Amino acid sequence: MADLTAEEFEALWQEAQKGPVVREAAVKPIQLDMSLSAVLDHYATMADGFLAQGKISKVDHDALMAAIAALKAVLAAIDEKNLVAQHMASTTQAVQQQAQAQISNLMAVARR
Amino acid sequence: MSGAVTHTIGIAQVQTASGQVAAIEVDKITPGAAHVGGFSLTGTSFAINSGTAFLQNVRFLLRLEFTLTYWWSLGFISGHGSDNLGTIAIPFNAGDVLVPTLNNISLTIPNIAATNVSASIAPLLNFALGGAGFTNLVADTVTLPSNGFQLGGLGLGPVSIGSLQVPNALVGKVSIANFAPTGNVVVPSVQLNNIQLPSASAADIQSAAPIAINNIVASAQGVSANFGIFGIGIMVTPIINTFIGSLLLNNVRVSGSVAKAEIQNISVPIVISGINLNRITIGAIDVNNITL
Repeated sequence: MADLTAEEFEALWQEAQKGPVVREAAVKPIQLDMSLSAVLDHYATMADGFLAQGKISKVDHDALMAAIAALKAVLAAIDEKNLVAQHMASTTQAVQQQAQAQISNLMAVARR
Repeated sequence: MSGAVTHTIGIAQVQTASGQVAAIEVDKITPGAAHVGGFSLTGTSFAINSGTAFLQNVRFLLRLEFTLTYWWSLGFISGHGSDNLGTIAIPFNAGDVLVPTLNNISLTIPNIAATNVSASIAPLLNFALGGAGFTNLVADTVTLPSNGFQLGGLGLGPVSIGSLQVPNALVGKVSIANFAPTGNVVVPSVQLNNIQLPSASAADIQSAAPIAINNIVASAQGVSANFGIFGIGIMVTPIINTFIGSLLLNNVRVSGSVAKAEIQNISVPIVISGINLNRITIGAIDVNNITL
């Protein structure tokens, strides 16, 4: 770690004086598809594993796959992926605002 | 033989066993470049006393470097990762800080030695050394008087006197224009003991540039939490940078002492000019082989 020159220290000092109380970290968002069709895809993969391990029979596995296919056909008809994505975005925004409000309250308490 | 005849007396050698010089005057002694064989200080100690220290515009900048680790699992879907959340800089302005008393700074040096030191010495003028005695003065080939002398009504053929003793003689003055000894004046050693340097006050001492105490890094600390389907860990590394605008030391006093100072083998070539020996009294003179 290189030593700070007087100029670098002054720049950091000014930035610290002017900067926001809470800073947004630059991180990569986690992309998660929580639509039911996506969940069914993951579930079908898991059922394949159960069949391979002998935990379920071939008959039960086939019945499960048929039901998944029928349900996915209905979900595709209503554009379920897009509907779930919109719902998650609004929910996430609401939760995020609640978390920021809690942080602001904590900062206000700390300043008293 | 008749008429006035001028004679001179030739003296092959004058010897005197001892005598006294009432006053010796030297116009000038010119030392050459002096060579010092060795110079040493033993038991040198200094004490620096400062009344107060004044730190102006003291600022601390605490930087916290955050790293986040996380994991999540819904059974059929899961993930984990880590991110550098960046740095938060928290400024602390301490302003001016007065340190009321400071411990004295003692500096002890057991021995200081230097060799082959050169020195220059200014000419020494107008020395009066008082009186002195001398022994075994010898003067060769003396003729008295230089312009001869006359004896009226006395005729002498060639005369030779084997030796003559004169009981007492007084010589008014002997002058030597210039005297340069071929050898150097050598002083084997000069030693000074228990030299106390007087305590001295110094002006206030102020640092010329800001003082930076850079990048003091503490060990990383962190917290982690497990929420069942996800977990997080936050590690934080504190770093402190301190800048002091200036440091001012007030009421600084310096004192010191040297237990022993020694100068060895001082060698000085000299030239002595204008030597006057006044009122020389010679107790007895032996004169050999006088011819007229």
